[in-house]
Amino acid sequence: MHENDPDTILALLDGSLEASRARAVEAHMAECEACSTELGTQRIALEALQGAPRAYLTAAESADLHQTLHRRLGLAPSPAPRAAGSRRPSRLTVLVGAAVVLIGVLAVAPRLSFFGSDEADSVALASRDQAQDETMQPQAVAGENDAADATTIAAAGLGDGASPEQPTRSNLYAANAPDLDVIREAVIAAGGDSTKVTREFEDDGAPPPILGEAPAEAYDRPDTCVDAGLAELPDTVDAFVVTGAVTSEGEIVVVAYVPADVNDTVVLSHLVPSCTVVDRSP
Amino acid sequence: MTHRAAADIDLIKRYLGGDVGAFDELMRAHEDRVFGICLRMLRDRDQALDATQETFLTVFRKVDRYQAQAAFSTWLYRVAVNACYDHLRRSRRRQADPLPENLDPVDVSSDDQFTAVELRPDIEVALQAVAAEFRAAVVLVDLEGLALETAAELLGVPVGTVKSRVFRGRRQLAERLGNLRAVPEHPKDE
Repeated sequence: MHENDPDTILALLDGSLEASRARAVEAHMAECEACSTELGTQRIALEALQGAPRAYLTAAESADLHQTLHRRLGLAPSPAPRAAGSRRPSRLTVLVGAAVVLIGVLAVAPRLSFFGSDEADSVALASRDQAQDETMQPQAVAGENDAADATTIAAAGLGDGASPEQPTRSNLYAANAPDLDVIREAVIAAGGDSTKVTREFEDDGAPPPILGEAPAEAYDRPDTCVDAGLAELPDTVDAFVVTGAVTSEGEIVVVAYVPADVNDTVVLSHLVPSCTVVDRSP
Repeated sequence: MTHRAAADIDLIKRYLGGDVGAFDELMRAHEDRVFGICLRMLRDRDQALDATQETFLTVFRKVDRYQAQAAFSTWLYRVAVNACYDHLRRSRRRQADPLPENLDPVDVSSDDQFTAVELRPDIEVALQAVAAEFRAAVVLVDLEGLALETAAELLGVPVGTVKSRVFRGRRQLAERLGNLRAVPEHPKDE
């Protein structure tokens, strides 16, 4: 190893090196193949790790865990398990890869449309600001959010259930216009095709041609599927994207949480068998 | 003290005062992260669930002795890492045992397939090739985003050692990912 020890390379990568020192190190890197190779090695691993999705318990796993611990610790029985609307992904997350591309396509809809198709049917978008004041952010749960969270949750008709207005796809969209740059980054981070994220559909109001459009009344129905995806939001979310797909097993809601650090983007899916599938136009 | 740390202390007090709801709230605040650490350390979802359960059992059985000198989360994650080390040790012992005669064929449609996709299988496979102590450092610092100082505290080693382990863990990971040219000698762990 040359003059750049692990400390220096780690500091260079995490940006904590003083500017003048960073310039000197980078100058050395430009001339030293061993050190530049080492830096590249570290960068490959770091980027792979930072692009890796977070792991979550499914709702069923969480409920089992709580019940088992209640029993083994001799506590009163655990309260009713979370509804299917937990943020936790079902193991159908395998579908996320395809769905996130749909997020990119559908994110540009001029309103929250309910696209009738066996492949995908909806999108809701919202963005918000969220201060991140802790290194170790817990995942937020309903009723545990700060004031910034409350704004979005109220707009979506979520939170503690006190909101008088039921969430609909259209009022979700109206509350917060999408930030396409953020969504593009999220799609890239999730392995999707960011070129699908454009505003082209905004111009003529038409849904993507591969998808049919649901009857107008479908737009404003209280949507338990969307509720399901948004019932609990991570603390650090700046934006989120929701889309869905209808399968023979039920409706799958896909949510992409886009935090301040896009490398932390989380894409989750939920299988919501109880959702009512509305009639769709041919 | 962070908002989370203060909230945890309040929840612990409420739990010790008999508020079972505080127990669930405290768990919900941390269970995904504990599970994430365990899953990345063990890869096997069932083992990770077991380790997560053991972690919370251990912590809640001793929570009356918790001193708020360190964040609750630091203690919790330390227990989780130790639970994972125990699982890895047990797995190694099992691997040394002869295989049973009637092994079930691998079910390619099992949930594990979904889990693997969820977690980016290339990274997960590569991560398992990283030595356990380096993997723990990488999981805590690079995947869970803990500060080096926090990781050092919960691993019970100096910050310099964590840096060295992260450095070496990343190197092993990158080598496994197959994107490397030849690289120079590894630095010595402290």
